[in-house]
Formats: sequence, structure tokens, C-alpha cells
Amino acid sequence: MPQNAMRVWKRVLQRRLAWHFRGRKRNCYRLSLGPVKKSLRFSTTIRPIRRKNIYHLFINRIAAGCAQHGIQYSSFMRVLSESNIMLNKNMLAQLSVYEPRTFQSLCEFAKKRHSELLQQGIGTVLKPTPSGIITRDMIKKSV
Amino acid sequence: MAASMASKLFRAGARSTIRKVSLFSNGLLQKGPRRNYDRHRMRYLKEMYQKRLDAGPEKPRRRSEWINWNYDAEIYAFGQRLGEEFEESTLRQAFINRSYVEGEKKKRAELGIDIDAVPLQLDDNTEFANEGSVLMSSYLKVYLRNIYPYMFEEGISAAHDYLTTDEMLAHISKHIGCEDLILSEEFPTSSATLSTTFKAVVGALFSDKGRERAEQFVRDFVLPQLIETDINELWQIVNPMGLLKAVLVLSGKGEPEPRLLWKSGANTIMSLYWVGIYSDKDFIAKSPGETILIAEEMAAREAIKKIMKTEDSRAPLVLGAAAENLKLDYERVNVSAEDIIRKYYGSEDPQKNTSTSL
Amino acid sequence: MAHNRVMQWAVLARTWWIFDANQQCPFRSAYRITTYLQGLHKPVYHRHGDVGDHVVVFNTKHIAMRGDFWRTYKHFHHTRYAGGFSRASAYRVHEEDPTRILERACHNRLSGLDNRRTLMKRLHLFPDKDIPENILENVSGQIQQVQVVPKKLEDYTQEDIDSFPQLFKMPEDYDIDSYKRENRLEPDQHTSKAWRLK
Repeated sequence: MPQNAMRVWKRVLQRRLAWHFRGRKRNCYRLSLGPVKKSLRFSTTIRPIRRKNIYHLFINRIAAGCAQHGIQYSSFMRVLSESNIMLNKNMLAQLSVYEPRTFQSLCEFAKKRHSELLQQGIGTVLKPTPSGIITRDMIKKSV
Repeated sequence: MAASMASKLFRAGARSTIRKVSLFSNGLLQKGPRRNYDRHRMRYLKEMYQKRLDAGPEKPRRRSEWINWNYDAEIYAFGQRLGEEFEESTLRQAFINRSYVEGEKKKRAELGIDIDAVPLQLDDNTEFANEGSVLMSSYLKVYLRNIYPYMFEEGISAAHDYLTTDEMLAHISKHIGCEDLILSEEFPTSSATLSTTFKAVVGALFSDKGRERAEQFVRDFVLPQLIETDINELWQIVNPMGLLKAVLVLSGKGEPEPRLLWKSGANTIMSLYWVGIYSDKDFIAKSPGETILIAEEMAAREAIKKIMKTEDSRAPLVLGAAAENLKLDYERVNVSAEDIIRKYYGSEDPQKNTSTSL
Repeated sequence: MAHNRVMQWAVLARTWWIFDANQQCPFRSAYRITTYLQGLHKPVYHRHGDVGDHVVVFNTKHIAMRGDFWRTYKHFHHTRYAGGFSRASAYRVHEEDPTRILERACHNRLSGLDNRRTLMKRLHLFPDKDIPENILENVSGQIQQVQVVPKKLEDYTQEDIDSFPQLFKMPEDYDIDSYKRENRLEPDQHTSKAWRLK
């Protein structure tokens, strides 16, 4: 076995990690050291960020689908969760892209339910509420 | 060429060994490139690399060349896997290709055995294949005609042809495990042999269990290939507007009238036009397109799809448990588009022909 | 041939939208316009997807700003040389270029995006109603305005104005003219000297 075998062996690894770079840092060993180190560090930091990005992508897509049918994202999601429709954001985003009719029917349901809830909310406001003040007369009457 | 192949081989070999070792050592399944180099195993891996180079690429072998091969058990398992009770002798015959029989005869002649004195009791699967082919093809047509009653006969036969090509049947045959069981001289097995074997299996089932069971087999294994296939794409209509015109006029409606519904980016490279087709001021279908002509043609296709009731919102195929009580009309024949066109255009007026050949 | 192909074309082809900026807040308009530029109104949206649309905005000369923003809202610039800092009030910028305020508002909205320049190229701004014919032919949709266009005093007839109930009468010697803008000659303290009204 040649003397520099281990050296070559080590460089094989380096090349394996630098294959997707561009320019001399892809081909030259010394130049690839830093970028490879940095890319490995970056692959760690990106992990939670990627999750966050996907989460926001889902929200954007659902919101776009909701806007096409005239309902807000927040009220749509609220109605679905309160009506026990157990679809997560991933599934809803997929429906909005690939199953527009299904998504439309969900939106129609949410709109109707939302207007009902709104009316109920107004109803509770208009009802006479107890004042919380107790007078001497009231006690006398009850006794 | 040789060098690149060698490096590929090395990569494949080395990677597989590395993967195995790492699975054992870390207990973790890694994806992507490995980030360590096995300093202590360098000599070993290089040795393996050289051995792999010396050995050359793996030779394709029959499954039966391996020691743990039990043909009887495999024949039995084949029927059990598919949930069918074949008679063993018929199933064995279904897998015997003509070339195998001839090969056996040749071997005997070389050994100096007289064939007339000791007859070779082997029958090939040609008869079964013919029977199976006829049954399969008739059942496919009957099924499709009943499921799509408004579809033109040409569309039905196009779907039938798509399902009964050698490649398609070979694909099915391979994936239900016929490939290892086939007795044939040729290796690797060609798609024609695979497809013949599949037909023979259908024929064997027909002779064992009767027509109904064989048809069920075809329904369970051939027709699912249509799932996720757009049945309208299988039949290529050359002049959709002409056909649409003939159909509408013969059914007592007005001629189709294309209208531009809306457009966007008309002066740009990404222009979009939506064209709708109306007949007697009734909306039939609409479609987008890059130019008005394309949009018009696609709208005509959409209209034909609506007439055939095979639009995108059609019901899925009736298969599996739902198809058990399916009642099929075996005598049914759908309307042929050719007849319609002959009736409308082939009559007397040659001007009609020229006006619609857009 | 395939219908799926044209359906895909219909999804991905760029739509052209038109927006009337007459009496609209530039910042809230920018929020709505950039939604269309980025393609955020489509369910197929992706940040790197390049699914945005074109937006044609006209009447940018007639945008409206709330409060005293024409005076207090600033555009800043620095030449990167010593003493190269300058700033200008919104009304001054608007007098120089009537499309500038809306353009900057959209530009700022899209900050942090890699494809901001590409998106800004798809924004077509025109100071008044004159839009070139070749651009107007592309348009197929309208973006809703962000606020109701108020009726101006000039739009009322003299009869309406006279019949409007008044609580009190102005004294005859009351100086109304000195409140008009042309008469307010004091310089805008926040605008750099180079940009002040001469």
C-alpha cells in the first residue's frame, strides 16, 4: 500500500461532503475545508427554521384558498376546530391545492357556522344581564 | 467506460458494507453522505473493492439456480398468494413455454433417448394462452362498455388495447410472481413470454374453475391498471370539433359555437385564453389554452368527454368487493364514432366535410 | 393533447391585474398589491415558486395620505460619502415623481426577498389614466381598492353647498386665504435644503 494512502482516503471523505459546491471549493481540498465545516454547521441550524418555513407555507396556502371563497383564515381555522373537524394544516393546504372542490365545501360550511356564531355572540350581548347589585328590598322580598 | 463502471461498482459495494456496519455499530440509520472515514477499515474496504473489480459485474441468474429453490412449493404458493385454487397439473402446464419443451426434446436426442419409445409427457401453454387471451379480451370490453355506457366504441377498444399490450401484461405477470416460475429456454425472460404466461394462467383458471372465476381474476389484476390513467387520453381524437358537430346535430341540437370567455396576458408569451362551447345558447364545456385555437380544440375535447360522461369528475371504476354483485350486459355494443361521422359527413354534401376540417 | 397540460397552463400563466390608486393610502395599497405580486393569493404559492402576477396601477398621482404624512413622512438617501445624507418629505418626492411613493412602498414591503427585483419588474405604475394600449390589453382582473373614494368639495354643486346646514356664520373679515397652502411660505424644516421648495 502506498504511503499516502491514508491521506487519499481522508480526502475521499472531504470530496464526498463537498460534491454539491461550486467553483474551486468543490475541487481543491484545502479550499473545501472551511465551507464543508460551515455547511455542516448550517445543516444543524436550518433544521428548526425549515420546520417553521413549512408551517408558514401551509398557513399561506390555506389563507389563499380561504380568500378565494370569502372567509378569513383565522375564523376558518377556529370554526373547523370548534366543529371537531380534525384536519391539520398540512392536509388543509393539500386540499386547497389539489382538491379545490373539497376545500370549497369546507369553506362554505365554515362561513355558515361562523355567521351563526356571530349571531349568537350578538344575542348574548343583547340579553339583559344581572347587575350584581343587591338591594335591601330584594332581600326582604325573598324572605 | 470501464473505469467509471468500476467506480460505480466500488461505490455500490463499499456503501452497502459501510451501511451495514454503521447500522450495527451506531444503531442509527443515516441518510445522506457519511461524515466519517473508517480509518481502521481502510485496508479491508480497499481489498473488497479490488475483489469486486476482479469478480466483475454480477451475472444474471435464474432463481432456480440457487440452492433453496423448491419448484413444487413455489407452484403451490403461487395459487395461495393469489387466493385461487388451481389444479396443480394445469398450473404447471401454464408455466411451460414452447421453447422449454423443444429444449427438452433436444436434450433427449443428444443423450440418445428415443422419443417415441419414452414419450416426453410435457404440454406447453399455447392452448391455455389462447383461451385466456380470448376470455380476457372479451371480458375487458364487456366490462368497459357497461361501466362507460356512453363512451364511443373506439374509446373502449383503445382502452382494451392499452390493457392487453405485451408490456402491460408482462408488468402484471412480473409483479404477481410469474417470472421465477416460467419454464423457458430464454433468459432473461422477454415481455412476450411473460405476457403469454399471464394469459395462460387466466386460461388455466378458466379450465379449472370456470368462466366467472377467471373473469374475476382479470378484473382484480388487469383492470386496476386503469386507475390513475385518464381513459380519454388513450383514444386520440384527430378532429374533435368535427365529431362534436356530428354528434350534436344528429342528436337534434344546434351546431357547436365556440366563444371566447376571457383572456389574460394577450400580448405576452404567457397568454391564456378560455374558450367555451355553446349549442343553441346552452353552455356545454370550456377549456383554457395558450392560443385561441388550442383552447377551442381542448374545449371541443371537453365537450366530447361530457357527452361520453367520462369527465374528470366521473365515478371511480367499480372494482374489488363492490364489483362482486356487478351485473354486466354481455350483449351490449356502444355507439361507434365512425358510424356517426359516416352518417353525418359521408352522406351527400361534400361541403360539410371541408367546412369542419380545421 | 392532454387536458391536464392546459389546466396546468391555466394555473401557472401570469394573470394581469389592474388597481386604481385614486384616493388610496399608498401603504395599505402596497400591502394588497404585493400580495398579488408574490402570488400569495394562490393556493399553489411557494416562496421560490415564481407564481406571482403582474399588477398595473394607475392614478398614482392621486394617492391620499392620512394625517400630516405628506409633510412628515420622509424618504431618505445616503450617497455613502461624508455629508451625503439627504431626506425629502413625501409631498416633495411626489412632486418630483408621482409614481415614486407607491413604488417605494411596494419595494419596502418586499424587503428580505431574494426575488424582489423580479417582482418589482412586474409592477407597472402610471401617474394618471393614460395606460399604453399594449399593456391594457393584457389586463383581465381588478384588485379591490383598500378604501372608499371620498367625495370632494368640488364634486358638490353650489346648491348642495348652500343648502348644507351651518351652525354659525363666519365673520366677514375672517382671513381664509392665509390658510391655503400656497400662502404658507415657511420652509419645511425636515426637508434637506436641496429639496426644499424654491
